[in-house]
Amino acid sequence: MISVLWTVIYVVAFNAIVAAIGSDNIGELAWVVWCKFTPTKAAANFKELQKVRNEAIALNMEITGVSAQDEFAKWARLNRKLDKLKDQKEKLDATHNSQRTFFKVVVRRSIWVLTSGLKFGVRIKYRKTPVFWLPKGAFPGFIEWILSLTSAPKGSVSVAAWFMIVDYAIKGAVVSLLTESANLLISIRNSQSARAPMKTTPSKVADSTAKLNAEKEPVNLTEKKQK
Amino acid sequence: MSAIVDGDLLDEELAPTLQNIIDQKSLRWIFVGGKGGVGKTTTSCSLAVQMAKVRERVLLISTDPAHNLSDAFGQQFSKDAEKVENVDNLWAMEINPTDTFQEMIEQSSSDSPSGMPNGMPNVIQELAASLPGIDEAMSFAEVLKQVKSMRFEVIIFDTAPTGHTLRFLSFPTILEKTLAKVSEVSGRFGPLLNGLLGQQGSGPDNNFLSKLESMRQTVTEINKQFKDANLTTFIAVCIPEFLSVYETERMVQELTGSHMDIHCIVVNQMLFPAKDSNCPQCNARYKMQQKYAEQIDELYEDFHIVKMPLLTEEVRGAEKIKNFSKMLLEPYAAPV
Repeated sequence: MISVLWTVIYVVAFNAIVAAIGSDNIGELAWVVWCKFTPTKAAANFKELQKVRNEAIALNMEITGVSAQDEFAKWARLNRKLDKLKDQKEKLDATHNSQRTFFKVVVRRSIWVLTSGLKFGVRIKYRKTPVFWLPKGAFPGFIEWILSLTSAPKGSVSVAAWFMIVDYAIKGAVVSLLTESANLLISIRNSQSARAPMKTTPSKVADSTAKLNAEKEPVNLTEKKQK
Repeated sequence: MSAIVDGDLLDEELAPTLQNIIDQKSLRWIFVGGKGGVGKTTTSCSLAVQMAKVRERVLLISTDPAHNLSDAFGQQFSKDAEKVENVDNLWAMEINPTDTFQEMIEQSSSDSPSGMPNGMPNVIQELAASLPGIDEAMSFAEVLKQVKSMRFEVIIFDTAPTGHTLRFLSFPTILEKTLAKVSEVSGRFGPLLNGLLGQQGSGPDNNFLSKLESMRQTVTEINKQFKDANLTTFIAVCIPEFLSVYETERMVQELTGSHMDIHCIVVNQMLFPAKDSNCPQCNARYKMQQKYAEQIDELYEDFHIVKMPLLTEEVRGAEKIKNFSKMLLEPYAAPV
């Protein structure tokens, strides 16, 4: 049954990574990649938009070099061109934005299917499979019953229970990782400011200690819970 | 813009007169616009005088709140069309956009059959009146309606400075939006508000709304005419100075953008000092004006560009306008 055990861990870890990056950011990133490397309409539109934008910038530079007073005709002609480019840019921008919104909705939905949907699927598929067996008599009967919810055989740990445990552990790991790194950063900063005390104002130090305390709290909480 | 398709025509310069406007018998609406103080009124009066020679029943309307027609012709005009003395076939009127709207509102409230109690605010009407741009739109529509019923052959507008001029082109859109909003709001809250205020029925609202609706139809129809180059044209007036030329360029672009015909530019107040003139200001100004005049010629090569001289006297009174107007048709020859 080792495969179910690891499947759950992978799924939860994947979930945690996606949550840490944020599905919106993933969508944005995927959109950029999509625009750069696919031969789609959206990509063509994006390239056109970039071209027009660059042209407009170049034209703007050119216009600043022309005196409106001395060469009005030239200046006005350039401005007409710029207006045309701006119109074009607006239209392209509008299509680009609507395409992006649509794309991001699709990405968000597929991310949902890959994370929450996958979780759900695994839970349903292995609902009757014991992930591993508990040593006999190690826990009281009602705990064995809870751990086997919803439909794994009694005396084993069910997928649902295993999901909860892994989820909890990984989340705790992420939180402690973050706090640890924050602590590390703060201690480095403190040691730096100790070396150059003139640069940091007292308020900044107070600020960082406040942050430190704030970030320590969740760890304490989780520790308590684990106990 | 004039349609020059022939390659041969391209080399030929377009005649520097407004003769083409006079000859275009299909024209019904002519707008004269430009920055304040460049001589719009003088130009429109002159054009009207010339127009009256070849057409029957020409009307000159000033929509500029600072009315100058009376001043130019030395005759007091009002918001009803009046015959211009000493000029055949020419009538003139001066309207004030905001006044017309106020009158209209008052009229529609006094018309209400239910007899609204005095001092009771008509919420819907207030709401409609507070929408931006509506006053100008409505008054303009009202005037156009009047004008249409009067059977004038040509109507020349002496418009307010540029910003105002351009706005009327978007009036149908504004009105449509306004109407949609008003009917939506009144449909939703009208009964409630009327109930709260203890009004029976919605007589005044309907009266006002139907007026709005009929306005919209008029404006939509007229707007269609304005976009027809056979019926309507715009004449830009400017002086050879940077801001004025700049404004003209902006106006030309916006008019082209809203599909209005413009193919004539009147460059006013040109200085032509005598060769041996030793007036330093005149010579310096002449130099500057020539620079902008050249730029105008270069930029608007497919336009009729009429250059009018700055006179040593004010163009006032029918006779002087008549004399001045000749120069719209025959290019002014500078004294050597």
